[in-house]
Amino acid sequence: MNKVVIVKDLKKYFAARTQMAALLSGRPSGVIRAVDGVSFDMGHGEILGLVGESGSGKSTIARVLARLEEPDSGEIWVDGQRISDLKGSGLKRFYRQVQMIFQDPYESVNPRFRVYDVVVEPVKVQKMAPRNRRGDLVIDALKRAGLKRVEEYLPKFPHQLSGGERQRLSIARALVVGPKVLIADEPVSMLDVSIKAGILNLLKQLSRVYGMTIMYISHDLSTVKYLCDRVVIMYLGKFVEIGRAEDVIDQPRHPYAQALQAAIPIPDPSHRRPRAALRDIREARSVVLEGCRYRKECPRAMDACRAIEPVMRPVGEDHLVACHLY
Amino acid sequence: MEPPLLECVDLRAHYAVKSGRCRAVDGIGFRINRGENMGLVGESGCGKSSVVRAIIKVHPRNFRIDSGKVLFKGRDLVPLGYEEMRKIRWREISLIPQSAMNALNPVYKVGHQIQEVILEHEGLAAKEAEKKVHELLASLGIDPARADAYPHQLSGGMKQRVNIAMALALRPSLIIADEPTTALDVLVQDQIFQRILEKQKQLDCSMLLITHDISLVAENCDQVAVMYAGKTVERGAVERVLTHPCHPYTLGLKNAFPSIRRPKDQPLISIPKSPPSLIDPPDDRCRFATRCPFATSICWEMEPEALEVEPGHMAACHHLERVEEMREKAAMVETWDEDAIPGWPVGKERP
Repeated sequence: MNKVVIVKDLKKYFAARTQMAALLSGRPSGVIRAVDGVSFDMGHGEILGLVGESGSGKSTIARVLARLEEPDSGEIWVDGQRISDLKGSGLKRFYRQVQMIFQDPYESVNPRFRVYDVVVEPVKVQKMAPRNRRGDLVIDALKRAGLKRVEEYLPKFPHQLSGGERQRLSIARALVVGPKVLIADEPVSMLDVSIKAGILNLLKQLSRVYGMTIMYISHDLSTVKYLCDRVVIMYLGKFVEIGRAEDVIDQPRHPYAQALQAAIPIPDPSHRRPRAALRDIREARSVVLEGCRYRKECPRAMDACRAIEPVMRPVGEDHLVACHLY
Repeated sequence: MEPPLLECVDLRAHYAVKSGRCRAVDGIGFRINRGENMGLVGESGCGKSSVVRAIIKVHPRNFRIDSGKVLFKGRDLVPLGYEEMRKIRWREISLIPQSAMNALNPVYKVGHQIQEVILEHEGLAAKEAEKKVHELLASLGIDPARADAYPHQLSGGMKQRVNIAMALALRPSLIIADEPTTALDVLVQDQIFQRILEKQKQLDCSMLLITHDISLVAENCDQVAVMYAGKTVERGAVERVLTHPCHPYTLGLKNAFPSIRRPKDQPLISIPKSPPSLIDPPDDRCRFATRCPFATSICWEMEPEALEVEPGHMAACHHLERVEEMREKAAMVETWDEDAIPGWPVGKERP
């Protein structure tokens, strides 16, 4: 399978907000290592799930991959191009290749734009078609986003659409420029159960029918299992496990992935899920710089975890885990 | 016989809005027995939180209860005045609010806020109340020293546990938890629910859990009521309703709900179209008819009544005699295709 996206040792740090006391005492201000050395690739038409709790760096990876942020180090290749080399018109063309869909369909479209205007905007910006051809592109994109009777939608405003329709609108806006890679950042977490499935099925269809490469970011393992081919589990800026969705979700190996999986409620009243022991939910975590980042919470931490940072090692076919247990 | 802890009987309430009456609670009936947990499930905008407002009578000015009863230990809360309700709130019925982040006052220390609840309702000395706060926090796994923290100094999970501490402070007999873990991470959610269940057992109180998440109901509740567009469409014991749903909406929800135990190749099916507007909705039809693949002309002519399909299991649908057939068809993708929904019956005149 040829790789559409290759990411090597990506790092993105942010300056921590400096406390007044620290400023006065002249201590150096901290650094937040949002993404701290991750490598992965995505094949043509593959759906990769990116899972982790809030603050683990999922969205930062998405933003760097879409080149909305500059990485501090590391290389990103999209469709054979190193994106840090891109400038000017080349960069503008790149933005056509990678498109994003956001969590909140209510806030990610301009409320004063009609459906047609929302979708035609990127076409205009990218100067993709002469005026008289734009309508066709818009209609085609809306159809591919699964809207029926598209013509009825064109003059509507976003507030006249339901949550599901609005999310399809933002998908259409992404599709209209003909991207190769789609980054969906929690696209269904704000949607009701009854329409969630429709959006998940649409993403699946885009990958299977049109060969779209999709990064699906979520904290919901059950939707990830349904949609994704492969899954990455992230913890505080690092990947801890990566592999085929069924392998990672049905039989997680990393203690963090295991804890995550064991905490998912099951919608079957006859199933008794063993509940994890109650412990104090940690407070704001300071990042552990030496050894394994998960060691303070890990029930199976050993001496090695304190001193040596674990690296990704294969534990099965196409299944890597960063843990000293393996 | 001892009356149920809480029973809502055909409760109806509305918000007066510019364009008419938004009938968010429009015929809600359910019963919570002592020691039982009930889940009230429904999609956003179906009126779940308005039911809570009608029960505890904390609501905006444009909200009014039209009819029905809220029987708490056999006593109807609807006609009660402000002072009488005040004695019931927190002491008898307490609330774990939806957004842990904003429910606490940002300018007071969290310990102070819990203490206030105790002082307001129980004639304790400040010192005793403070001791009680510390005990409560400790029992929820928070270092009592954190009583001196301000809300912004706590993580989301800790803030929600402070809310729980507050809800439990007076040992109420009913806790209403309104989406207590939305916006929290799964690991935290799991721990929060375990804490709630553990404390509940100790205090012997019931819970009304408001959520859109069927899996939380499956794991934490004994009874469930499914709400759609202001009405309860189905209710009964969790293991019956979730394994043998009868109402087409519940059938649809079940097939739309993802689970990590679901085989990967089993498709999730969404329910096409969206719920009807609750502003002056027509009374002479089933609210789900617009989205229901099994709707026939009767669904557009008459509102279905809740019927008992088995002891304690009610469903409001005209086609309960076809339930086996509906169950079978509801599992098929093509049944829920937007174009397969019959919609407005042919030959019937539109108003």
